[in-house]
Amino acid sequence: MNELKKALPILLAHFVVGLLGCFVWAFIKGVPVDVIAPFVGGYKLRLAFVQFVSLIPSLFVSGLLLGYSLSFGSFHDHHIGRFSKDLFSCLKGGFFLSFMVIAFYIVLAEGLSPFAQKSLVHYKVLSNDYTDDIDLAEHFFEKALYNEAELYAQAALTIWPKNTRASQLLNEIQYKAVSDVDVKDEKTNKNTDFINTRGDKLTVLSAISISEEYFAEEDFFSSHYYAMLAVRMALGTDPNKEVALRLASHAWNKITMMEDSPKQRFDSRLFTIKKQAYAAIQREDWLQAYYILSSLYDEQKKYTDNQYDPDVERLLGVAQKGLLGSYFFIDETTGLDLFEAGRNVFFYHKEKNGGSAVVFFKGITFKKESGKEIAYLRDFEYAFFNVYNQCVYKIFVPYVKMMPVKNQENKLVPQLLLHSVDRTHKGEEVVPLIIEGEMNTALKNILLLDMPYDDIQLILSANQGINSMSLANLLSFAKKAEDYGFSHVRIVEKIIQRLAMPFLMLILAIFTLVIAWKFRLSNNDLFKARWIVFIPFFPLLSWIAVELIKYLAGLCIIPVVAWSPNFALALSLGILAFSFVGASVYFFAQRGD
Amino acid sequence: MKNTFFIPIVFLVQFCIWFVIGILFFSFTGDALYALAFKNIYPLFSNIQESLFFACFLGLILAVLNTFFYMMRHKTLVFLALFFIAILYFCGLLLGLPFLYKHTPNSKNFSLIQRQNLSYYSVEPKKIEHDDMGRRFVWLDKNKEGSKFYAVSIVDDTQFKTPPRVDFYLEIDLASPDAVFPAPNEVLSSTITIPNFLKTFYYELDRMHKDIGDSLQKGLFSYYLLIIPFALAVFLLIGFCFFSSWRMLNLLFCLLLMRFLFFLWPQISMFLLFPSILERFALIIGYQRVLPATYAGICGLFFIINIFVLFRRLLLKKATV
Repeated sequence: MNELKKALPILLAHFVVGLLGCFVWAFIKGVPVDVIAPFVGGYKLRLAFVQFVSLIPSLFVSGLLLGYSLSFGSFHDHHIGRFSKDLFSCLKGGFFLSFMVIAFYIVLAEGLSPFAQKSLVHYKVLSNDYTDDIDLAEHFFEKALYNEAELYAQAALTIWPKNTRASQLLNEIQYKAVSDVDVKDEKTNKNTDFINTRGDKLTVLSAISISEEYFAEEDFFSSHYYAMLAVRMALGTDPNKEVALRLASHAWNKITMMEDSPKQRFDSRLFTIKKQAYAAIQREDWLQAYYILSSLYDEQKKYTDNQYDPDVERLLGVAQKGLLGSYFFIDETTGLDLFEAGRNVFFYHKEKNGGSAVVFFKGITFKKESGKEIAYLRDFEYAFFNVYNQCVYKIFVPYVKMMPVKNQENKLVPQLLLHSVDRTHKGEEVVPLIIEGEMNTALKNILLLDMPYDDIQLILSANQGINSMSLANLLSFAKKAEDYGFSHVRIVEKIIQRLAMPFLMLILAIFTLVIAWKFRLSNNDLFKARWIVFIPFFPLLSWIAVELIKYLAGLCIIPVVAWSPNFALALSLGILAFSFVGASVYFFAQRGD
Repeated sequence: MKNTFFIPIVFLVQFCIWFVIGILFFSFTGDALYALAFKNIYPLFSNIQESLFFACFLGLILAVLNTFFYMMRHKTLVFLALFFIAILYFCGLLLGLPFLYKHTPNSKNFSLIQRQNLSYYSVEPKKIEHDDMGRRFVWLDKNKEGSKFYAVSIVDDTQFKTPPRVDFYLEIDLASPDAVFPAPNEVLSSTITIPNFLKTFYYELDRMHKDIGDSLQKGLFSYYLLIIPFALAVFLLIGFCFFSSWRMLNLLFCLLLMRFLFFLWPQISMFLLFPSILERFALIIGYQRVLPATYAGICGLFFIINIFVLFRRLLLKKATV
């Protein structure tokens, strides 16, 4: 353990100098041209960190080599036999140090480095988005499309808030937009009372009384309205509630028996519309019901005396809930690009019925809606192939809403809503564009993917590059990779590479101890100051050795994985374990001169 | 004394080890392993046949170096040990290698850089492949002719956020010379990424192999003229094995200088380093003699350092006594 104490400071010095070196390198090295100014600092810091993590094995080997080479010098004064206690003690110290460093390395390489790497990619994506947004804003500005131009200029400002170019552009757009707009006469809002209302302070009894009065006057709509008002005001235990309900029912029956005619008063129109909406809800035509009630609701909001039919609001809620099971609103997707969790996602998917599909989308944004995770897929393309690999249809949708739903097997699968509608204007909708083949009408609104919902996250990770996938994701994805067009062999190979690295470091550490032992400092010799000049060459040589071993190990994995992908992991780990034991025995077998 | 007589055995063992490692190192290239993964063993055998000569050359060089390292760690009669090594080393280089070159005609095809270029293409249905243009393919099936494949490709064109660019049914005729191939199977795409330092080394070794092969074809004299100065420079690294009292530093010197000797070969052979000086030099002594002359110069320098090390050790020994 005495050697450990001597070697440890040298090892720590390696890490400190290495870390500082990485920061200096990152700050001297230019960032990619597309990274914008606000991200440069963060980009460089993360780059330095990622570089440091990748250099840890080399620094470790170099530190061990130098530290132990110097500390083993103390063994020169007495003879060391093979398999001696002294060597065992050294090996124990070496193992302890190696395990500590490897644990530290795993935490950084598997835990923190992937996040830093993702940030690097994210900075580049945001920077590209900023450039695109500015270009698009200028492009639309030149074409006098001010709304679009303003949208992109604001998006650019969201990415880089203090950018003068973006804010100047936005100002110019806004100024131009205002000066170009024709002054239009304000439309006078007509206050149309659909229902006779009374401004008095109402109680349950007075509401019933008014309702009865209107009923007697054969104004059944107002009668129904006040009866329903009394129902709402009455407590559950209030016997008047039942009276009010009965009155509302009578009024409603009269309404349903009434014929529309010009003679009818204006409020009959309200109930005719409500009747239509009720009927649409009954036949689950949510879209129709929503637009009827939505326009009615908007109309009612214009009343200045705050008298409106609460049924409209309630029914609108029901219709909206039903609608959102099959459609989504176009405005839900505004400004989502900035928060996209993945870009250019592409995968192949084999359906259980023998068909297959190819899915592509340019971006995906996750959101929470009523505690449920949903996602919006931008520029979505989907092609479905039959068992003979013939394209049945291929569609393109600008935005798709994805949510988890339970299928017949009670498993969560992705449900894609392909049809989006305008929140207020009927007829303004976005439907799938069929590029090839013919699509079943029933599928034009909703598409169910025959795959577990959770796999979407794995596919996203795999699309970002298998190298940036975490070990946990790789392990989960290995068996499913083939289902989505990814190579199982490739994933297994990557898993082996990741798992092999700590073993390789351990084996390399033992061989380093052997070299340090064989080429240790001579007896009674002190470290000379001039030797420091040559110290930087040791990390360089160690880096070459580590990279070479990684490359060779990677090459050896290929035939093993290709021949027996199912046993490759066990086989590779077995070989590594055997090599580790062999290396340890080899170290024990060393002796002094 | 006992260690001294072990030296020839150590040398031969080291030679055998590095010869085998050399063959494996040169033969287990990405292309050969990729073929091996698809149960085609021929490219690996072909590589081994082509590598025999150069692996033997490199085995001799590394055996000398490792025997010197053995001498660093064990007390030997230095001059006698060096005599044994010199006999084996120079016999191998001057007699063994020309003989091997003559009897392995495949050696002429040896090219490490060329071996790294993958020539095998895997066309696996239902797998996403990438190409150099950033497209991704999914091979769906073969058609009846068996030569065309239906594929899906993506071109990641984000400019002006135009609608995406998916070309379905991209027919690729593999028989056509204009066919756009997807990149080789992803199995290898990461593992065969050769580190840059290794690529440079491969390039140097290729140049070395070409020069040695050319000289052997011209005749033994030409070969001896080329190889002796280089071999001697390697042999004279012995002085650096005893340069300081810290063996690790001596090891570092030897490895770095060895690397330097390899680095220098293509630089001088192709007139890349100080070309104007080398041109003038070549006009005086002849183009063929520039490389041997340079290594001869290095030998001279190493010889002086060896003398210096020897005297210093003698003085140290005297002082200790």
